[in-house]
Amino acid sequence: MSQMGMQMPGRRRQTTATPNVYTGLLLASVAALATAVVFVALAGMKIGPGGDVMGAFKIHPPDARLELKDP
Amino acid sequence: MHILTKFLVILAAVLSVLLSGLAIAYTSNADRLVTEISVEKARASEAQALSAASAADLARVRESLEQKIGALESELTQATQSYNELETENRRLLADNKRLDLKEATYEARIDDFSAQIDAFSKIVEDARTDVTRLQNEQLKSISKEIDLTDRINDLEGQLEVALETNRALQEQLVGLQDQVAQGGTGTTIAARANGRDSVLRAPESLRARITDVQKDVDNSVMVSINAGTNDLLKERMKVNIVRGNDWLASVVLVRVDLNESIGRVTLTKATGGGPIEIGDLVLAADL
Repeated sequence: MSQMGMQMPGRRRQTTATPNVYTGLLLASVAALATAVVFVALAGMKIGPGGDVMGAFKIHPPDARLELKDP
Repeated sequence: MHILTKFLVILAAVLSVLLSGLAIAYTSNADRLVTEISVEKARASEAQALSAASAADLARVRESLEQKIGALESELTQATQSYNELETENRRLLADNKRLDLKEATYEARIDDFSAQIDAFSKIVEDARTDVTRLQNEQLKSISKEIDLTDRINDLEGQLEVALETNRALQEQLVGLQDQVAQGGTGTTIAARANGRDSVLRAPESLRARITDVQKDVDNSVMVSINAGTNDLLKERMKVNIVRGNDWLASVVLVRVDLNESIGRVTLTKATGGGPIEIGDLVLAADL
């Protein structure tokens, strides 16, 4: 009913949401996660197959010869 | 909940998933790397051991090769010396060869000269031989002619001697007949004296011959052979003397005369001190 713009009688008064302390904590955690992702991605690019960004998500084939990109 | 909070929640969830994927891949790859590193370390240690063994072998091989190199260097030095000596010898031989070539050319020229001289001398010799042959033929003709003339002279001398003997016999016969006429005898003795069997001829003064054989005849008379005959102007009934040194040995009357041999009968020998007639005694002409 509210989607139709109708106001039902007896309902609780609608309040406006505001950023609180959890929002700040999430912001900090997101920043930490992003930093970790960047660092881990850079390290994974060095030891991953192919040497590119997507190589950081790949695993070396078990039977193939281990080959790394030249630093 | 504020929209920013919702967005951060979603973003954090996404980052968490992303980080988890990266961490899984990173750990797996890191484990693989650790394994590979350990394997490579083992390989490296094996390679180092093998390298050490190879280095030892290489050192031995190098030492042996150095010894061989030293020996080869000494051989090379000797070979170089030999090469230098051979090169010197080769230069000397080449010089000798050039010198011999020059001598050969000189000798060939001299041989050509000698060949030309030989040809000229051959022609001269051939001409001389032709001349000598012609002269010999002429000389043979002259000798033949001289022999014919000598034979003719001998025949004429023989005929003259025979005529002289006949004349003498006739003179003796004439004297005998005159005696018989004077004494009134017969003619048988005259005929016996005039047959001329005991008369002898004079041998040529130039006769010089040797006794070649001495034999006794059936009537025990001594027969001798001499190395002279009609070629030495001897004839039958000629009287010759046999001498040895300065001693007269015997007188011989020839009974058979050939070209270069005659046989005579000994008619008179030295009484004492003469000795027997021997082969090699000298035969000379005798006075009548």
